Amino acid sequence: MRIGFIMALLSAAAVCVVVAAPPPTPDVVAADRLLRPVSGRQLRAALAAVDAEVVLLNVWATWCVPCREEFPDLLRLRREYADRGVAVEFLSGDFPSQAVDALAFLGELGVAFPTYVKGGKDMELIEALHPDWSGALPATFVFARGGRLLQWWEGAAKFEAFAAAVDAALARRETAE
Amino acid sequence: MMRARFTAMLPLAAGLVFAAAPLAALDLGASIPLASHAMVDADGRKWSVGEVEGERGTLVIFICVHCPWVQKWNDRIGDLGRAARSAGIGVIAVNANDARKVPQDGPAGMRRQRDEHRFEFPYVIDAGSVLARAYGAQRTPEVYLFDAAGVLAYRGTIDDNADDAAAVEQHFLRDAIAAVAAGKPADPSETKAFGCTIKMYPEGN
Repeated sequence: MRIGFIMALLSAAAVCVVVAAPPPTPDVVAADRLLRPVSGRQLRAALAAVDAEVVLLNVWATWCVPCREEFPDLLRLRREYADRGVAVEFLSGDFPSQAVDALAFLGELGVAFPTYVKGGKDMELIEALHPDWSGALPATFVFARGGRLLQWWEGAAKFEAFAAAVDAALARRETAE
Repeated sequence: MMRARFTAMLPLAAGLVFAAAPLAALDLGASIPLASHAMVDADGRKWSVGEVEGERGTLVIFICVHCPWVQKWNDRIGDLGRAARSAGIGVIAVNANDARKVPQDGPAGMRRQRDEHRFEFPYVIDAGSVLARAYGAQRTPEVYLFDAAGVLAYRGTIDDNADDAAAVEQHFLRDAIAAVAAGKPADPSETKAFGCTIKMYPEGN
C-alpha cells in the first residue's frame, strides 16, 4: 500500500499532475525530496542550471552491482571536490517499483541531498544524455558549467578515474580563462 | 563495419585511468559477423549463428541470467522467440558474460532460465565474449535482427517498458520481426533502453 502510494507520487510528479493526497508519511516526503522524477530534457535543463564549474552525473540503479560498488567513490568525490566548484549529481534508472529500494540504498550511504530518478521513457533519457550511449549502467557524464558535455563513459570506475575526469575538466576551464 | 563512437570530447592527459571506452555497435546494413563462430549451449551442444539462420531472417539476442532487466523481459523473450521462428526467422540467444565474474550466469543458471521461460531456441555461451565484441554489444538485453539477406535491419531493445509488459506502448522487436518477415524495413530500426553492462571476458581469453 505504502509502496503503491510512493509510486503514484513519483509518477504524478513526472507528468506535473496535481494529486489530492492524504497528509504525507515520512517515506513519501523522503521520496519526493531525494528522488525527483525527470525526463531527459528536464534533466539536461537541471544540469545546465547547476551553479558549479564542473558537473558530474552518474546514472545508477539499485540492482546494478557495479553501480552500487562505485557509489561510495562518487560520494567521496562529491565531498572532496565541493570546494573546487564540482557538483556530483545522481540519476537512478530504477523502475518505479524499485523506488523504495533506491531510497533504502541512498539512506544506507547517508545521502540526504536531492537526486533524480528516471521519470520518462528510457530512450528519450538516453538520447538526451548522448546518442551513442547504449543505455548500459553504470554510466557517467561530465559537464562544463552551463551543461556542455565534455566526456562520458559506460561502466564502473574508481575514485581516481572520477577525480582525473573532473581535474581535466577544471584544468580545461582554467586554461580557457 | 563499425561506426565510431565518441566517448571523450575532452582532450585527456595521457595515463589517466578511465573505464574502457564502449565498443562501437554494428552498423545497420552490416552483414552477420562471425556467422560460423562455434559456441556451445549449457548442455554442451555446438551452435553457430549461421546454423540458425532462417529463410526470412535471423534474430540474435544478447542476454544473461543475473541481469534484472533481462529477468523483466525473460517471458517476452521466450514469446518473441517463438513468434520469430513461426515467421521464418531463426533465433539464437547469446550469453557473453564471464561466469567467473558473475557465477549466476553459468550453465546451471542458463538451463533454469531457458526452461522456466520457454526458450525454444539455442541459448549459447559466448566464451571469450568473441561474438559480443564482434557485434559491439554493450548491454543485456540487446537485440540484433538481420533480414533474409543477412543484413542488419534492427538493433536495440525489446519494447518500451521492461517493468510492465501490460503497459508496453511500443513493441519495437515484435514490430521489427513482423516487418522483416514481410521483407519490409523495420521502423524504427534502432532503439535503446537501460540494461546491464556485459561482463566481458578479458580479451584473448
